[in-house]
Amino acid sequence: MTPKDPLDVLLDRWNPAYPDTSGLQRDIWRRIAAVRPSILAQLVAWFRRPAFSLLFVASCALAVLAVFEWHEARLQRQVNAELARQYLRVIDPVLGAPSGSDSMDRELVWMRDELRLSPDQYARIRALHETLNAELVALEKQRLRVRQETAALEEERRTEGQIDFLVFAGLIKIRQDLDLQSFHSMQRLVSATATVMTPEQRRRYLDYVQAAISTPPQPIAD
Amino acid sequence: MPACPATDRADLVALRRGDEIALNRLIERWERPLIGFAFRYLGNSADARDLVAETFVRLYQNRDRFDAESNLPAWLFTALANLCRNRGRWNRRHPTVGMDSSENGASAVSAQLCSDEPDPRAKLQQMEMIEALEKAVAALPHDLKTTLLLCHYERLSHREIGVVLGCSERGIETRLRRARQQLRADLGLSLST
Repeated sequence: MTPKDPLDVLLDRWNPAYPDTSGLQRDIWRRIAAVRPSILAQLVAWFRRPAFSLLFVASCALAVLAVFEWHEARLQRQVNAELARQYLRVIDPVLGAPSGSDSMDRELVWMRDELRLSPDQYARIRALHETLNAELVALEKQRLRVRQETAALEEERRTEGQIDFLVFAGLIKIRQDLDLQSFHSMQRLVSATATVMTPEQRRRYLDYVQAAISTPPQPIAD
Repeated sequence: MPACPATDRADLVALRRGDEIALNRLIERWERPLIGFAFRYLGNSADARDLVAETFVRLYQNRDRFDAESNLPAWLFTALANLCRNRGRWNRRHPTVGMDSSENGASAVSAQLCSDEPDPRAKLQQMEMIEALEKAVAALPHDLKTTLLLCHYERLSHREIGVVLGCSERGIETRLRRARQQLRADLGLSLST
């Protein structure tokens, strides 16, 4: 056995009394509390991490996209509602004057774009609307005549203090019949138009006209 | 040196996740080796304790930088060795009378001389040799001193010491040989007087 190196022997003997470590943990935590960074510094430290920065940027981008998407959807809903209102005025004389044949394209072009109708579908739908347009115009004329007669009776009631209520009741009945005819015409048109479409187009189309086809004409108040 | 890298890694992971008690476990495990190193390096218990506390503060502040591959002992001794070098420079430029030299040295010598040891003269001679060793170690350059202390007392591998000092294993062997040569030379002079 080789004798141990005297230097190693001496080094082994150098075992100084260790400094007291009691309270070291408390001292360390006190120092950590003293140098603990502010919230701003902590945020900066977080943003120095590539993963956190990427996550933050991605979250912001997603949030912006979500807001944009929500805004777009809201605008689209408004546009669709307005288009539907315009369309309903075209097909329902109760809501407004039917368009002439010359403005038919203008009134139906939204449907072509929105529902992505094929040229063939569009042509058939346009033909359906043109066919019914004459009937709707006639109904509108009758409604206009009844409205004028009712106004004349009202004027008579105001000036002379009396009217022929049998005539008045007859006008009311005619007007109700006209409204019902308009409703049925519109239902027929919607039904015929829907049959030209694919199921998906039909679902979206019926969503637009839902309000009109589900609400029968109310009794006339005036 | 506490050889439980898996436990260290687990505690570091816990510390990163916000379990601050994990730092207490790391302190309990590493305070003695670190204090031993710092005390032998600086020869001053107050400085040693101060720098070890600072090392753990830095460990806490840098907890997010550790990953599964991190070598905790190498990191701790690197931080502490750098702190010791800086404190040593400061102490050389701002010399003060340390309490340890008067308290520990005198009390230790008197305690040894008054003990029931069979040969107080031999004991005294041995203590003088150890005092000479302390001075010789203190006179070593930073790299040689750190290499010697980490190798002989903390049982770090040459590879780990290489990480601490930023050099190769062969470089560590060279530094260790030079440190021992210098100690032998210095102690030979001291012992002969």
